[in-house]
Amino acid sequence: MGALNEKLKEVTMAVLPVTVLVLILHFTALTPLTNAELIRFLIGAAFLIFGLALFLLGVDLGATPIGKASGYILVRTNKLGIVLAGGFILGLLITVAEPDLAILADQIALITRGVLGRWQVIIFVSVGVGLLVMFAFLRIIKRLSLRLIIYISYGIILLLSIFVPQAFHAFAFDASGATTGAITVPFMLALAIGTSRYRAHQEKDAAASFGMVGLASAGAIIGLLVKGVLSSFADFSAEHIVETVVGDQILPFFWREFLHSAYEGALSLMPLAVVLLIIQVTKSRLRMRAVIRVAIGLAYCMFGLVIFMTGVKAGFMPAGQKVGGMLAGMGYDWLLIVAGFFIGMLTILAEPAVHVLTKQIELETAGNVPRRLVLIFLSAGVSISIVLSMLRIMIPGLKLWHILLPCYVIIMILTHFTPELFIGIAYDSGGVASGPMTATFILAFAKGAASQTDGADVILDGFGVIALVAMTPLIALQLLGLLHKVRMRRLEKKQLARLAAADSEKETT
Amino acid sequence: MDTPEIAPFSLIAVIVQRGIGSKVVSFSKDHGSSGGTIIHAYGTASRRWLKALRLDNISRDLVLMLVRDNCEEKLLDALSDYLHLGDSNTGIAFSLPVSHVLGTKKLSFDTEVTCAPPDADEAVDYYAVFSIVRDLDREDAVEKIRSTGAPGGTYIDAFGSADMSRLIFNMPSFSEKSIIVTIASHAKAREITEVLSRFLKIDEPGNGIIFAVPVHRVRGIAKEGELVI
Repeated sequence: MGALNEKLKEVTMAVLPVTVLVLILHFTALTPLTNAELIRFLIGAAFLIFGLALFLLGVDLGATPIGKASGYILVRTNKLGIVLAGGFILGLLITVAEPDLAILADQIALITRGVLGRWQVIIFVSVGVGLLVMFAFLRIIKRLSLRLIIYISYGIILLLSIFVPQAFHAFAFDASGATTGAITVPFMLALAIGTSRYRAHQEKDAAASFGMVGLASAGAIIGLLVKGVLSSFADFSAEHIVETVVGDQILPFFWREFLHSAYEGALSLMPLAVVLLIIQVTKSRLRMRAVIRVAIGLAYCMFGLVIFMTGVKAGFMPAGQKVGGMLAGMGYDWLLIVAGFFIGMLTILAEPAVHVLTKQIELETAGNVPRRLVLIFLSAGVSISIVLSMLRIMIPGLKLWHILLPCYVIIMILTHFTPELFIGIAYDSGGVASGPMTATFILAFAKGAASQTDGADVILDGFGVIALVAMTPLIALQLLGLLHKVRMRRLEKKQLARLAAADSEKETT
Repeated sequence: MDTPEIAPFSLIAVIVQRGIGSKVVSFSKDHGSSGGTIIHAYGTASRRWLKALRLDNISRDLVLMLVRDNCEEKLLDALSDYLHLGDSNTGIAFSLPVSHVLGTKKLSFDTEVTCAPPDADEAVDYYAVFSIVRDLDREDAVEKIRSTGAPGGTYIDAFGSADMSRLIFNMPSFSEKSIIVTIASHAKAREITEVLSRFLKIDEPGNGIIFAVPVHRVRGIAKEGELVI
């Protein structure tokens, strides 16, 4: 099966850990699932593996070439205006079509009783992303420091945060995770590479390839915060959403989720198809064979994503909610924290965009930053974020900003010392970590836990989980960057010492 | 040109499935090689349904090793046994003549070297054709190579530039390229270069460049002109 075989092998290793964890919880009778739930979960795992493999194949064949080509074509015009406008439009287009954002917008509309309309949310977030992607382009071309742009963006975020109601923080920071979905991330990574590749490759230029996804996330936060400042709210109410009862159905349930995922998959692929069409009417259109390859790749992307999402929603989400609920219902707080830690650690491995990013990092740094190392730090970061989420559910007085504010202060201090390359990698991985697996499985786990905890609110405590998952990788990967810096310095010193020794030897002879 | 000179070193290149490259290096170290360099490359499968589904890009390792001439043939044969290069879909190994080597011994670039005459029976009959093409032209280029009857090739992602004077945002511009390596007999190599240069309009700057290197020995080719890879 050629290329598909390779992907299947890789992906199986990523999905198995979390599957085994849930099975262990089931068989140790900590959280026994019903037979129907167990079967659905196992079918879901098979869907996950096959869907993810197909999706990643499609990214290689379709999404990445389109992203690279559009960046390349924009830069080739040699006109700053066109490049910036192109960046804005691409960022806007791909965010408008993001299914995760649509879901978030619906929930926000529900909770604010329509003060924030669905489309208002989508448009403000999309414009925010568009603007920041534009700045990301400007940064690559004018070789501005990423650090500076990040300080400015997060300064604006801090300022705006003061003027909005507390519950709004959760919406805004969740939006950052929701916009950087499975398709958006590979596309933006490729876009950044296509844009920065026009000049000779140097150590410093690997840094130019990263950071765009991170800035897009910041753009989403800014967009929604601006909307929050402009609107006025009385209060938020957490209305209870009636969850559909699943019962013992297996096939009909999968079919329903499949239809739903098919619509979302097609929607999120639309912008890339449009970009491909636009490229074909410009002077630098691709050869027919390349177009066919990209089109087939996009089809793989879509079917892969649909199968993946079906497996997640029909198999993993209900299981996650059940496990979270039962663990919380036992009354041992530490049990929930330990389980959350491991679920966070293993779930992130199955996140689609994580594969794309870690591979890209290894390629761009020519193996200097190994994939495994990035994964370890990312896993650690996410597992801590789930622990924080569990604490937030257990301790009613702990507000989201009590965690976000000190952590972002730490992040900003770290950013001052981290090398530019790792700043980009860290901020990108924040957006990458909060993908579809987080938005479904981990969120379901957290909601399940909240539903069985006194004083916790299923809906309000559900918000903010994604925000935390998007935040902790920033700390973890910047720490990795510092470690890398220290190691490099030590190596350099050794080399200098060796050179000095050789010199003195020469002098004596 | 007189009789071709062959230095006491040869460059051995082995193309195998991704992940096997490190095994090749450690195996070769026991058989006279001083080490090797592994490059991530991609093979192009020729089976029709894989091509139709665009599943035809297979990750490969390209291993480069410099070895002394006196153990070059032995190493190639040992590798052929070890990797079962006689079977299809396993890989290919070939050696290229090298005129100067620095790094393994205290040699300078001008060090004179004694030359061994090439074997009569295995004398240069194959060529390694290197085609550097634009990344987006790669697929068509591989098809063109196949149209000559050659089995395709292995490619490496690269980037470069022909025209450094064209500035984009005040920087010399670089674009993405692919290096396609194809092993072909003399007649095929000629055909490939002709077909490709016509297709790529190779004489215009920036469209690519093609060169061929005579191959000393090759393992992994079953019949005349047919690669097993």
